[in-house]
Amino acid sequence: MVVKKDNIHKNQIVYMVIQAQVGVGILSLPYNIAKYANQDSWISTLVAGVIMLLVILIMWLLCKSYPGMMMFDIFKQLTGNKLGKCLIIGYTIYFMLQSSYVLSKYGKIIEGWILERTPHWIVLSLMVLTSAYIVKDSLQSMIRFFMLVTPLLIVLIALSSYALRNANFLYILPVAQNGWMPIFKGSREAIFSMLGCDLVFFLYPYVRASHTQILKSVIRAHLMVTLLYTYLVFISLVYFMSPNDIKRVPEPFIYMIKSYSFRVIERMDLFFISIWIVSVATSFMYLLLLSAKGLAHLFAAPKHVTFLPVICLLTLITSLWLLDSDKLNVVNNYLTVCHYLFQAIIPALLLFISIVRKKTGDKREEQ
Amino acid sequence: MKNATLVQTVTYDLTSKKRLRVGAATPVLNSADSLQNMTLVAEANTPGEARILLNRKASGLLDSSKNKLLLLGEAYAVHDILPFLDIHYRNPRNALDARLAVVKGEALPLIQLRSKSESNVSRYLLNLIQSAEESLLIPKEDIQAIASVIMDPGEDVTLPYIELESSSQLASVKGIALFDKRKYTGFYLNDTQSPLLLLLKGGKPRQNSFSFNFGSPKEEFPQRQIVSFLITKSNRKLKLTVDEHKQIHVALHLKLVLRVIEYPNGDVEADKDKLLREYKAYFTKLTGEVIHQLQRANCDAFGIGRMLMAYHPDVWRGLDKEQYFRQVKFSPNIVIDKIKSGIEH
Repeated sequence: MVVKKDNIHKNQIVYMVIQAQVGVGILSLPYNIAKYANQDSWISTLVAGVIMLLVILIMWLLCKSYPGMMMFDIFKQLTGNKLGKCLIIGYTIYFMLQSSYVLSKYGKIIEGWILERTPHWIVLSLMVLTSAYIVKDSLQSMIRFFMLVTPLLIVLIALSSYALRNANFLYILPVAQNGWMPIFKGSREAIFSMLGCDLVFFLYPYVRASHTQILKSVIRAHLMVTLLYTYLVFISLVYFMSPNDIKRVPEPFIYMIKSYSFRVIERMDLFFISIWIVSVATSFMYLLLLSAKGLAHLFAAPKHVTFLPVICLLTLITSLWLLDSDKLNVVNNYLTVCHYLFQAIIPALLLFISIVRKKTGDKREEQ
Repeated sequence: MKNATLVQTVTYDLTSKKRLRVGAATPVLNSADSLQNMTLVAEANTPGEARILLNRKASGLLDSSKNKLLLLGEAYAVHDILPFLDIHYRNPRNALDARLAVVKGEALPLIQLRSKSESNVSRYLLNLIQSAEESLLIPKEDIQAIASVIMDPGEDVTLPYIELESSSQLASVKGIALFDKRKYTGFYLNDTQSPLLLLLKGGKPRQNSFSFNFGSPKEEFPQRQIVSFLITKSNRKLKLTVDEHKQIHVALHLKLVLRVIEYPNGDVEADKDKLLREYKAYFTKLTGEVIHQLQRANCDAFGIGRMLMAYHPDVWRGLDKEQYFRQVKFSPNIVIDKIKSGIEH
């Protein structure tokens, strides 16, 4: 079933994880964390990185014990055919819901910052069409695209770093003044922007590398993203005064960059957003791919492309509905529960079951 | 877009009836006439309302994305300026790097003046402000940069202070307007005090020249005793300490390197010791004036409160957030490191 052009080289894992993790949330990251952690938000991202590491380990252990099997097959293997199918449906809906959320969040930012009068469906359809075009082909082509656009992140970092000119480093002092509770609360927000490692684990059998190599690459990528987030949050913390000023603008990054204008490019923020759109697209693509794969497994179809149009249409309609009815926050609340459930609780339970099975299995063999 | 009327400068004034008078300078393109801008005026309750009224008067749709200067009349600036800046922050098309300045008296006449050197009054005013920034006469502040400072309880904003010299149809930068929290205090620093404040805040000197008289007035030509000089280097150290009585002390060390540009009396090298002494006395006195003026205005331009929050949070918690700056004890120490005499001795 694993076709050669779908193989993933071990060096590509890093790009996959980075592009899947960095997405729509990056613009409002400092704002979301600062709501709880104020000037200590940069510690929150570090804490979130450590917590996320646990999630990675759980998923890796699970995949490791069933080599050569897709995550969806592991579900069936561990919980039986019926319950396994329910899990697949659950995950597919989760991925679709997440992608609709990403899409509508994207639409909202584009509407607010650039295209105030363009109808949502135009903006969103363009995004869906481009993403679907890349997802429809082989895995390899999608991952090559991820690799291709990764250098853009450097531009993103450079643009944000320019804001350090107006920084006041006193804004982050004193460190951990209000105790650790707000920091942990803030890290909860940061974790949601770090989701995306699951991409590797759902495509585990395609990766041509040993188990430890995969783990190492994923952790390396995750570390890079954690540091990137910490740095970006740090920049906005020394730029905006917490707690009053940073709570004023939900997208601090664009705001920060908007206040600079150069002779050649007057509105840097437009430039910044165009680069950010690529990051949104890559995370959207991975969600599309995983939902399509989920459906393909459910119906035992050989190719995920068959289900791509349905998924694209459903996501598009859902996100348009979300945008028009202004239900983004409601959905975000549901998604928060889903994140816990699908990223941590279910994999942990499955891992537990698999360990117990192994043990009883070993005993049987001994007898 | 084609029919847009660009707004390049906006003025806010408060009328005697406590209403807002908004003036907008818009450039007039392709006209052979020497007057290349038009002023639109509207009276309203808020800037947003004024914008609607101005839009009716403008030939095209008003476009504020090129608005690079916001002038606040004195009567307007003495009230909380933040609420009416909201329109500048909220609209994604507005320029956040627009400069702000306080104008002595009313701001509106400033955009109605006819400058002989530059027919576009907005460009004229912006150049005026930017060149004063370049020579470290006024701080470089824009709408976005002041937002953090103005909301910070531990630091206060300072903005350029401009005056219209009505007789000569010229605008001139008077110095720095001192704010307390969100309001202009009515106090300002003059053009010799302003550069010193910026140096005391850690700015790097550019074209900052001073001159003073240090001879005895009994001489026949006391004017010949005036020495003019340039500050070429400056190094500032600020040390904040809190003693056991919760008294806040700030030690300000300023090390300067000067270059004499005019000394009609003759030999700089020979008079060096005397000059060093006189310079030190001059700058110590000037620093005293600056700090006195800041404390009168209760304008924490140094961000002492922010430093307290960062390094002595316990002290800050127990402090009177409104009046703390007046209780700070400053001990300035000015050191003249070198005097350069130019190419003549």
